Amino acid sequence: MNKIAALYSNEMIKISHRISVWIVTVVMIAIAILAPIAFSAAEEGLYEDENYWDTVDFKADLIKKKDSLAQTLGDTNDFVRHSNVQFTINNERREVFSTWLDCDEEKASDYSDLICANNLLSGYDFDARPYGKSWLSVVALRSYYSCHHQICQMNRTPFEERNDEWYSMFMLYSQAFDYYYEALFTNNMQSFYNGEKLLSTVGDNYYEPEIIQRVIDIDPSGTMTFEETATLMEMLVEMHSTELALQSNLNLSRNELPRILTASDKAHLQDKVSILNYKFVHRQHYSEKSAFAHQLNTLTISLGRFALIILLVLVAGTSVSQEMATGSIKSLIIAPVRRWKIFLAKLLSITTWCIAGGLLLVLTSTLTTMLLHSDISLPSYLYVSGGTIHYIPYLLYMILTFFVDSLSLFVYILLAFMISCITKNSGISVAVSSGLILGANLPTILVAMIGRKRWIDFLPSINMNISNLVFPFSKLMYGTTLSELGSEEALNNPLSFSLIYTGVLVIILLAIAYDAFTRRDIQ
Amino acid sequence: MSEKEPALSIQHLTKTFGKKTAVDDVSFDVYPGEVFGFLGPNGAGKTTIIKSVMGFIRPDKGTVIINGHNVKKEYETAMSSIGGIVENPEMYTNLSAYLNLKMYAKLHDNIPKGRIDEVLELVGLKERAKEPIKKYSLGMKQRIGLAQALLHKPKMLILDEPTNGLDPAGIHQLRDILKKYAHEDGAAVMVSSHLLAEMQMMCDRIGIINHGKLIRICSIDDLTNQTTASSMYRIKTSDPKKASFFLSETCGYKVSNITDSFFDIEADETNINECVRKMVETGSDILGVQKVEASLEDAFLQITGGGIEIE
Repeated sequence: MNKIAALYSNEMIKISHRISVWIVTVVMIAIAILAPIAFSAAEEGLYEDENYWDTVDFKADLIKKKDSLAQTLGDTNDFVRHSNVQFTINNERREVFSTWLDCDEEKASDYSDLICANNLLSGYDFDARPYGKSWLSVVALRSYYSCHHQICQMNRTPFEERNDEWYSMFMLYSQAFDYYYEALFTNNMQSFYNGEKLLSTVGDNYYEPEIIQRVIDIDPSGTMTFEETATLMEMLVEMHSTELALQSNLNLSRNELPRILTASDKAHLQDKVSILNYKFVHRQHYSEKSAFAHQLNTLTISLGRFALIILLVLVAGTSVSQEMATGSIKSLIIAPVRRWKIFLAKLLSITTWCIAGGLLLVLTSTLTTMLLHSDISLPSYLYVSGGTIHYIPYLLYMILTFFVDSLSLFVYILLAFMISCITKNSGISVAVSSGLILGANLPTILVAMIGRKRWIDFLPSINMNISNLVFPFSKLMYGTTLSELGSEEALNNPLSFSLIYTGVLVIILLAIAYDAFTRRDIQ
Repeated sequence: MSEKEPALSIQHLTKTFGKKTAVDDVSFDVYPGEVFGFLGPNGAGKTTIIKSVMGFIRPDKGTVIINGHNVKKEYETAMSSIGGIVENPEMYTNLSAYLNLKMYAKLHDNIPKGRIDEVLELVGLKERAKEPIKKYSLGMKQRIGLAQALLHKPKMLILDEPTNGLDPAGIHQLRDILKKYAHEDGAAVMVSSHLLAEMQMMCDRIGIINHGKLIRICSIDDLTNQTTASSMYRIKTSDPKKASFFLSETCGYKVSNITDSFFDIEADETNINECVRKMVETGSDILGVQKVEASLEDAFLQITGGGIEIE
């Protein structure tokens, strides 16, 4: 044990005294620090529209709009007629005061807008409830307008053509209009729900009433901002569709043909609902800014990964071969240590550099990103275990996903080490392993060219790309606010297959390397 | 010497590379307190034997026992009593000599702290120990290799061609160090070389190897005595043909190397007089008589080339 420790510390000394190792390390750190800074500088321009709603003078626009509509329409008495019309209400005939718009569709539409504008200008408190400040003000206004618009279009029906059916529909929209009016003018989320619920009976609702119901739970007075509610709504929509899938027992994912859910599908969807619900209740809404920061961090790490690959191939690919080439292996062989201990020490030292290099990259990049965006909280990764929600803080999540994502990288590093043991030629081991790492995308290209074939499942990179299997809920951190880089074609085998496959591959590589190193004669 | 336990015992060592047998059933012992010379032309199998002893290559057959420990069964214990240089001393050239020694020291048990300075002083590199080895000359590398080999005071020190790259003063110093290490410190030292004069000055016993076979083991004295028993004289005369013919045909002397100005004759101190007298009597002029010193080199060539019987 002492001998292994001594060999290990010697290996670390040897690696740390190589200038090339330090040069690449410095380059990697420079990327991890400078890239986020450069990206953030470029980002500045992207959020010019951040306070879009502040720049809108809604009241002034409305006055302008009203004036121009009034001018277009001229005297409304020319086409607005009133009369009493008889309808059967609760089994008795009654006279109802009615309006007829004797005009075309466009004119009715303008008339509707004019009435709405007049209503708003006379009764809406623009200072207390500035339009756009809350989600409710935006959606209620939209529904208020469209509902009134519908009413005006119905009023184009001549008096004589109006029947009981027309009346009941008219009353439904009028009722809904009242709800939207109340929602808009008093910031009442419940009224908005009532309106949507009512219109859902004729399929004219904008949101699922169940979804609005959930929003009432956390924001009854409709004060949450538009962005916040919109992203919460996105969660709700996703939660709702997941619940629908669970109820119908069908997979309704966009990318796949519908199929009956398996037990594991169900468990996954159930967990997804729990996580979405948790995020919703705790108002951990998706944030475009944090998604952006996260995306830049991910981009930086993938840039830095190139430097890391060079670093690790340099360390692993030359570990044995260089000693063989320069003959310095002799001073190891002469020492009273068994060869397997030397082998183990080399393997451990390479592993240490892999882990240290990876940590250095992810920590530098992530901490720089967090520092640059200190005003944003980057979301934690949520998962379900034993029926309760657990979370992994962002930094830790980044580290873990990096190492899971780098599984293939580490297998290729092992390959470089193996070739280094066999060939005793640094050039070959560095070249072959670099080539394989760069060719890791081949399966995706192959699939695109020849379609999915059974043998493709056995290609290494398919089975080492297991990030979305290990972290199945990653997408719930950002929702659609995160535009994915590249295609999201998932070419996954089951996790157990991939793990066994990778394990067998690692054992084979290690066995060949071990055999070559311990049994070979050193000339 | 056989009453002592050998520091190194090699029995029936055989190693083939492909079809070529590099070492063929070699057995010998090296004892504490002696410098054992391992002599043979290039490619004779010296380095292969040394590498088998040091764990670089696996012999096909045979056993190696170091200080009573079988290399196969107790590798680390056996190897801890051995130190040495194989071919050239190769170290980590971008690291300092001191760090190289320190790293090597860690792989042995119980090396006292001051030992590194001690060996650096011994090989005269204490002043330059902080420099990276790539700045060293070949001779300095050879010396730092020796320092490494001596670091853990091995009971068996094996040096493969240790005088490579050393200047005459360095060779002299090395010889003193090795002799002292064997004779005073009681360790066993094995040195391989193809330079015979060196062996003559350094070694107590010698093993001669050629074509992978151990041809002979004997003390230096035995080897030189064997050839000086009947020595060679070179006689310069104006007519070497006539004189040599007369001496060989009439008197039965062995003559050789007959040239235009001299010939060699095999004779000892007593009968060279007779030869000279007979030449004078038969009218040959004598321009000079000179004793030709028999050297280890002759013996070596005789043994390896002439196929002399092994004892």
